[in-house]
Amino acid sequence: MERESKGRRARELRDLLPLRPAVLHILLALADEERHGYGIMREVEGRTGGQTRLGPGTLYGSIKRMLADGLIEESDERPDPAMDDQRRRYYKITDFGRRVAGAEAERLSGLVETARARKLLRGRGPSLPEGA
Amino acid sequence: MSRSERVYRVLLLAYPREFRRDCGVEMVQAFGDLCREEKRRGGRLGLARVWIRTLPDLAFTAFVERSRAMRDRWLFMLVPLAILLGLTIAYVDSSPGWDDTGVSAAAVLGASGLFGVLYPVRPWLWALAVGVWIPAYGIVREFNYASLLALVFSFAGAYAGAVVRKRFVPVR
Repeated sequence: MERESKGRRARELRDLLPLRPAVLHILLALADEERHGYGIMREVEGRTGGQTRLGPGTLYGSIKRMLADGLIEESDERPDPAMDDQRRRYYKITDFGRRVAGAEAERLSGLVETARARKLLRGRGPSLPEGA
Repeated sequence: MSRSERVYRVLLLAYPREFRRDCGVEMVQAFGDLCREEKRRGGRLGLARVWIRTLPDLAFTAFVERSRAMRDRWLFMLVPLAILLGLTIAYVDSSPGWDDTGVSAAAVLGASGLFGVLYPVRPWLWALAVGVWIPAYGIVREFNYASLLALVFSFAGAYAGAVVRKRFVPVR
Protein backbone atom coordinates (compact mmCIF):
# COMPACT_ATOMS: atom_id res chain seq x y z
CA MET A 1 0.00 0.00 0.00
CA GLU A 2 2.77 2.36 1.03
CA ARG A 3 4.79 1.35 -2.02
CA GLU A 4 1.81 2.15 -4.23
CA SER A 5 1.46 5.53 -2.55
CA LYS A 6 5.16 6.25 -3.08
CA GLY A 7 4.86 5.25 -6.72
CA ARG A 8 1.91 7.57 -7.14
CA ARG A 9 3.81 10.41 -5.50
CA ALA A 10 6.75 9.77 -7.84
CA ARG A 11 4.42 9.97 -10.83
CA GLU A 12 2.86 13.15 -9.48
CA LEU A 13 6.31 14.59 -8.92
CA ARG A 14 7.29 13.87 -12.53
CA ASP A 15 3.99 15.32 -13.76
CA LEU A 16 4.73 18.61 -11.99
CA LEU A 17 8.12 19.10 -13.64
CA PRO A 18 9.34 21.38 -15.06
CA LEU A 19 8.03 23.90 -12.55
CA ARG A 20 6.97 27.35 -13.59
CA PRO A 21 9.47 29.98 -12.48
CA ALA A 22 6.93 31.56 -10.10
CA VAL A 23 6.27 28.21 -8.41
CA LEU A 24 9.97 27.50 -7.93
CA HIS A 25 10.53 31.00 -6.52
CA ILE A 26 7.69 30.53 -4.04
CA LEU A 27 9.05 27.14 -2.94
CA LEU A 28 12.50 28.67 -2.48
CA ALA A 29 11.01 31.53 -0.47
CA LEU A 30 9.26 29.08 1.84
CA ALA A 31 12.16 26.63 2.11
CA ASP A 32 13.65 28.28 5.19
CA GLU A 33 10.65 29.82 6.90
CA GLU A 34 6.89 30.32 6.80
CA ARG A 35 5.75 33.50 5.13
CA HIS A 36 2.59 35.34 4.16
CA GLY A 37 1.93 36.44 0.58
CA TYR A 38 3.56 39.85 0.81
CA GLY A 39 6.53 38.30 2.63
CA ILE A 40 6.98 35.90 -0.30
CA MET A 41 6.86 38.82 -2.77
CA ARG A 42 9.51 40.68 -0.80
CA GLU A 43 11.76 37.64 -0.40
CA VAL A 44 11.69 36.86 -4.12
CA GLU A 45 12.37 40.46 -5.07
CA GLY A 46 15.23 40.73 -2.57
CA ARG A 47 16.82 37.39 -3.48
CA THR A 48 16.79 38.12 -7.21
CA GLY A 49 17.98 41.70 -6.80
CA GLY A 50 14.69 43.03 -8.14
CA GLN A 51 14.91 41.00 -11.36
CA THR A 52 11.84 38.95 -10.46
CA ARG A 53 8.81 40.63 -9.01
CA LEU A 54 5.71 38.54 -8.43
CA GLY A 55 2.50 40.49 -8.86
CA PRO A 56 -0.46 39.65 -6.59
CA GLY A 57 -2.25 37.83 -9.44
CA THR A 58 0.73 35.62 -10.29
CA LEU A 59 1.48 35.00 -6.63
CA TYR A 60 -1.99 33.99 -5.49
CA GLY A 61 -2.81 32.08 -8.69
CA SER A 62 0.33 30.03 -8.06
CA ILE A 63 -0.40 29.65 -4.34
CA LYS A 64 -3.91 28.38 -5.07
CA ARG A 65 -2.60 25.65 -7.38
CA MET A 66 0.34 24.81 -5.12
CA LEU A 67 -2.07 24.25 -2.23
CA ALA A 68 -4.13 21.95 -4.47
CA ASP A 69 -1.00 20.06 -5.58
CA GLY A 70 0.16 19.63 -1.98
CA LEU A 71 3.38 21.58 -2.49
CA ILE A 72 2.58 24.05 0.28
CA GLU A 73 0.04 24.28 3.08
CA GLU A 74 -1.41 26.93 5.29
CA SER A 75 0.27 27.32 8.62
CA ASP A 76 -1.70 27.73 11.84
CA GLU A 77 1.18 29.32 13.65
CA ARG A 78 2.11 32.97 13.53
CA PRO A 79 5.87 33.63 13.68
CA ASP A 80 5.21 36.69 15.81
CA PRO A 81 1.52 37.15 16.66
CA ALA A 82 2.10 40.41 18.52
CA MET A 83 3.71 42.02 15.50
CA ASP A 84 1.41 40.77 12.81
CA ASP A 85 -2.08 41.13 11.40
CA GLN A 86 -4.08 38.09 12.48
CA ARG A 87 -5.98 38.06 9.18
CA ARG A 88 -2.87 37.20 7.22
CA ARG A 89 -2.47 33.63 6.05
CA TYR A 90 0.96 32.10 6.39
CA TYR A 91 2.18 29.34 4.12
CA LYS A 92 4.77 26.64 4.63
CA ILE A 93 6.41 24.16 2.30
CA THR A 94 5.38 20.49 2.62
CA ASP A 95 7.72 17.48 2.45
CA PHE A 96 6.37 16.78 -1.01
CA GLY A 97 7.04 20.41 -1.96
CA ARG A 98 10.64 20.02 -0.80
CA ARG A 99 11.07 16.91 -2.92
CA VAL A 100 9.59 18.62 -5.97
CA ALA A 101 11.80 21.69 -5.47
CA GLY A 102 14.84 19.41 -5.09
CA ALA A 103 13.97 17.49 -8.25
CA GLU A 104 13.56 20.74 -10.18
CA ALA A 105 16.85 22.07 -8.83
CA GLU A 106 18.57 18.86 -9.97
CA ARG A 107 16.98 19.18 -13.38
CA LEU A 108 18.19 22.76 -13.71
CA SER A 109 21.61 21.78 -12.40
CA GLY A 110 21.84 19.17 -15.15
CA LEU A 111 21.05 21.85 -17.72
CA VAL A 112 23.73 24.13 -16.30
CA GLU A 113 26.26 21.29 -16.40
CA THR A 114 25.41 20.70 -20.05
CA ALA A 115 25.78 24.40 -20.82
CA ARG A 116 29.13 24.40 -19.02
CA ALA A 117 30.33 21.30 -20.86
CA ARG A 118 29.46 22.97 -24.16
CA LYS A 119 31.29 26.12 -23.12
CA LEU A 120 28.18 28.28 -23.16
CA LEU A 121 28.91 29.72 -19.72
CA ARG A 122 31.42 32.55 -19.69
CA GLY A 123 32.28 32.51 -16.01
CA ARG A 124 33.87 29.55 -14.24
CA GLY A 125 31.27 28.37 -11.80
CA PRO A 126 31.88 25.88 -9.03
CA SER A 127 32.57 22.46 -10.52
CA LEU A 128 31.71 19.12 -9.03
CA PRO A 129 34.52 17.32 -7.20
CA GLU A 130 36.09 14.51 -9.13
CA GLY A 131 34.16 11.29 -8.85
CA ALA A 132 31.00 13.03 -7.64
CA MET B 1 -8.09 51.38 2.96
CA SER B 2 -6.26 53.62 0.49
CA ARG B 3 -7.71 54.78 -2.83
CA SER B 4 -5.34 52.46 -4.72
CA GLU B 5 -6.55 49.48 -2.71
CA ARG B 6 -10.18 50.40 -3.36
CA VAL B 7 -9.53 50.67 -7.11
CA TYR B 8 -7.61 47.39 -7.09
CA ARG B 9 -10.46 45.67 -5.24
CA VAL B 10 -12.86 46.77 -7.98
CA LEU B 11 -10.46 45.56 -10.68
CA LEU B 12 -10.47 42.11 -9.08
CA LEU B 13 -13.91 41.69 -10.69
CA ALA B 14 -11.90 40.63 -13.75
CA TYR B 15 -11.21 37.31 -11.98
CA PRO B 16 -13.74 34.49 -11.68
CA ARG B 17 -15.92 34.63 -8.57
CA GLU B 18 -14.41 31.49 -7.03
CA PHE B 19 -10.89 32.87 -7.39
CA ARG B 20 -11.96 36.18 -5.80
CA ARG B 21 -13.56 34.31 -2.94
CA ASP B 22 -10.41 32.26 -2.27
CA CYS B 23 -7.74 34.91 -2.83
CA GLY B 24 -9.37 38.34 -3.16
CA VAL B 25 -8.88 39.58 0.42
CA GLU B 26 -5.25 38.51 0.51
CA MET B 27 -4.55 40.01 -2.91
CA VAL B 28 -5.90 43.39 -1.82
CA GLN B 29 -3.89 43.12 1.40
CA ALA B 30 -0.66 42.27 -0.46
CA PHE B 31 -1.28 45.01 -3.00
CA GLY B 32 -1.90 47.50 -0.18
CA ASP B 33 1.37 46.49 1.51
CA LEU B 34 3.17 46.89 -1.78
CA CYS B 35 1.68 50.35 -2.34
CA ARG B 36 2.60 51.56 1.15
CA GLU B 37 6.17 50.28 0.85
CA GLU B 38 6.76 51.75 -2.61
CA LYS B 39 5.13 55.06 -1.67
CA ARG B 40 7.37 55.27 1.38
CA ARG B 41 10.42 54.62 -0.79
CA GLY B 42 9.60 56.64 -3.89
CA GLY B 43 6.52 58.77 -3.20
CA ARG B 44 3.95 59.13 -5.97
CA LEU B 45 6.41 57.84 -8.55
CA GLY B 46 6.85 54.68 -6.52
CA LEU B 47 3.11 54.24 -6.37
CA ALA B 48 2.87 54.77 -10.15
CA ARG B 49 5.52 52.07 -10.65
CA VAL B 50 3.44 49.63 -8.60
CA TRP B 51 0.43 50.27 -10.82
CA ILE B 52 2.48 49.96 -14.02
CA ARG B 53 3.74 46.55 -12.84
CA THR B 54 0.44 45.37 -11.44
CA LEU B 55 -1.96 46.11 -14.30
CA PRO B 56 -0.36 43.74 -16.85
CA ASP B 57 -0.11 41.08 -14.12
CA LEU B 58 -3.79 41.54 -13.33
CA ALA B 59 -4.85 41.42 -16.99
CA PHE B 60 -2.81 38.32 -17.78
CA THR B 61 -3.64 36.32 -14.67
CA ALA B 62 -7.34 37.25 -14.88
CA PHE B 63 -7.34 35.85 -18.42
CA VAL B 64 -5.59 32.68 -17.21
CA GLU B 65 -8.01 32.18 -14.31
CA ARG B 66 -11.05 32.82 -16.53
CA SER B 67 -9.71 30.25 -19.02
CA ARG B 68 -9.30 27.69 -16.23
CA ALA B 69 -12.80 28.35 -14.95
CA MET B 70 -14.13 27.89 -18.48
CA ARG B 71 -12.26 24.59 -18.74
CA ASP B 72 -13.91 23.35 -15.55
CA ARG B 73 -17.31 24.34 -16.91
CA TRP B 74 -16.42 22.59 -20.14
CA LEU B 75 -16.04 19.36 -18.18
CA PHE B 76 -19.67 19.56 -17.11
CA MET B 77 -20.72 20.02 -20.73
CA LEU B 78 -18.55 17.17 -21.99
CA VAL B 79 -19.78 14.52 -19.53
CA PRO B 80 -23.39 14.51 -20.80
CA LEU B 81 -22.05 14.50 -24.36
CA ALA B 82 -19.86 11.47 -23.63
CA ILE B 83 -22.79 9.67 -21.99
CA LEU B 84 -25.01 10.46 -24.97
CA LEU B 85 -22.39 9.18 -27.39
CA GLY B 86 -21.91 6.01 -25.33
CA LEU B 87 -25.67 5.41 -25.21
CA THR B 88 -25.91 5.93 -28.98
CA ILE B 89 -23.15 3.42 -29.64
CA ALA B 90 -24.82 0.93 -27.26
CA TYR B 91 -28.19 1.50 -28.94
CA VAL B 92 -26.75 0.86 -32.42
CA ASP B 93 -24.75 -2.12 -31.15
CA SER B 94 -27.84 -3.71 -29.65
CA SER B 95 -30.02 -3.19 -32.74
CA PRO B 96 -31.41 -6.50 -34.08
CA GLY B 97 -29.77 -6.15 -37.51
CA TRP B 98 -26.36 -5.06 -36.18
CA ASP B 99 -23.66 -7.69 -36.02
CA ASP B 100 -20.52 -5.71 -36.70
CA THR B 101 -18.84 -5.88 -33.30
CA GLY B 102 -15.59 -4.54 -34.74
CA VAL B 103 -17.22 -1.26 -35.72
CA SER B 104 -18.78 -0.92 -32.24
CA ALA B 105 -15.41 -1.57 -30.61
CA ALA B 106 -13.75 0.98 -32.90
CA ALA B 107 -16.48 3.52 -32.11
CA VAL B 108 -15.99 3.03 -28.35
CA LEU B 109 -12.21 3.25 -28.73
CA GLY B 110 -12.39 6.35 -30.93
CA ALA B 111 -15.00 8.19 -28.85
CA SER B 112 -13.17 7.53 -25.57
CA GLY B 113 -9.91 8.56 -27.18
CA LEU B 114 -11.42 11.80 -28.42
CA PHE B 115 -12.63 12.74 -24.95
CA GLY B 116 -9.28 11.70 -23.50
CA VAL B 117 -7.58 14.14 -25.86
CA LEU B 118 -10.06 16.93 -25.15
CA TYR B 119 -9.86 16.60 -21.36
CA PRO B 120 -6.94 14.41 -20.34
CA VAL B 121 -7.12 14.98 -16.60
CA ARG B 122 -9.66 12.22 -15.86
CA PRO B 123 -9.43 9.48 -18.54
CA TRP B 124 -11.32 7.00 -16.34
CA LEU B 125 -14.33 9.30 -16.43
CA TRP B 126 -14.50 9.17 -20.24
CA ALA B 127 -13.86 5.44 -20.28
CA LEU B 128 -16.89 4.88 -18.03
CA ALA B 129 -19.12 7.54 -19.61
CA VAL B 130 -18.64 6.08 -23.09
CA GLY B 131 -17.93 2.41 -22.44
CA VAL B 132 -20.26 1.32 -19.66
CA TRP B 133 -23.46 1.27 -21.71
CA ILE B 134 -22.72 -1.68 -24.01
CA PRO B 135 -21.97 -4.04 -21.07
CA ALA B 136 -24.84 -2.61 -19.05
CA TYR B 137 -27.27 -3.31 -21.87
CA GLY B 138 -25.67 -6.67 -22.74
CA ILE B 139 -25.74 -7.98 -19.16
CA VAL B 140 -29.19 -6.68 -18.21
CA ARG B 141 -30.91 -7.81 -21.41
CA GLU B 142 -28.98 -10.86 -22.51
CA PHE B 143 -26.68 -11.89 -19.64
CA ASN B 144 -23.88 -11.28 -22.11
CA TYR B 145 -20.84 -10.88 -19.84
CA ALA B 146 -18.51 -10.90 -22.83
CA SER B 147 -19.81 -7.40 -23.54
CA LEU B 148 -17.64 -6.23 -20.62
CA LEU B 149 -14.85 -6.26 -23.21
CA ALA B 150 -16.22 -2.91 -24.37
CA LEU B 151 -14.75 -1.41 -21.19
CA VAL B 152 -11.30 -2.63 -22.22
CA PHE B 153 -11.64 -0.64 -25.43
CA SER B 154 -13.02 2.42 -23.70
CA PHE B 155 -10.25 2.48 -21.08
CA ALA B 156 -7.59 1.86 -23.74
CA GLY B 157 -8.99 4.68 -25.89
CA ALA B 158 -9.39 7.19 -23.06
CA TYR B 159 -5.91 6.62 -21.61
CA ALA B 160 -4.30 6.58 -25.06
CA GLY B 161 -6.02 9.89 -25.84
CA ALA B 162 -4.85 11.38 -22.55
CA VAL B 163 -1.27 10.23 -23.18
CA VAL B 164 -1.30 11.67 -26.70
CA ARG B 165 -2.62 14.98 -25.41
CA LYS B 166 -0.12 15.20 -22.53
CA ARG B 167 2.75 14.31 -24.82
CA PHE B 168 2.03 16.81 -27.55
CA VAL B 169 0.03 19.59 -25.89
CA PRO B 170 1.00 20.42 -22.30
CA VAL B 171 -2.08 20.56 -20.09
CA ARG B 172 -0.85 22.68 -17.21
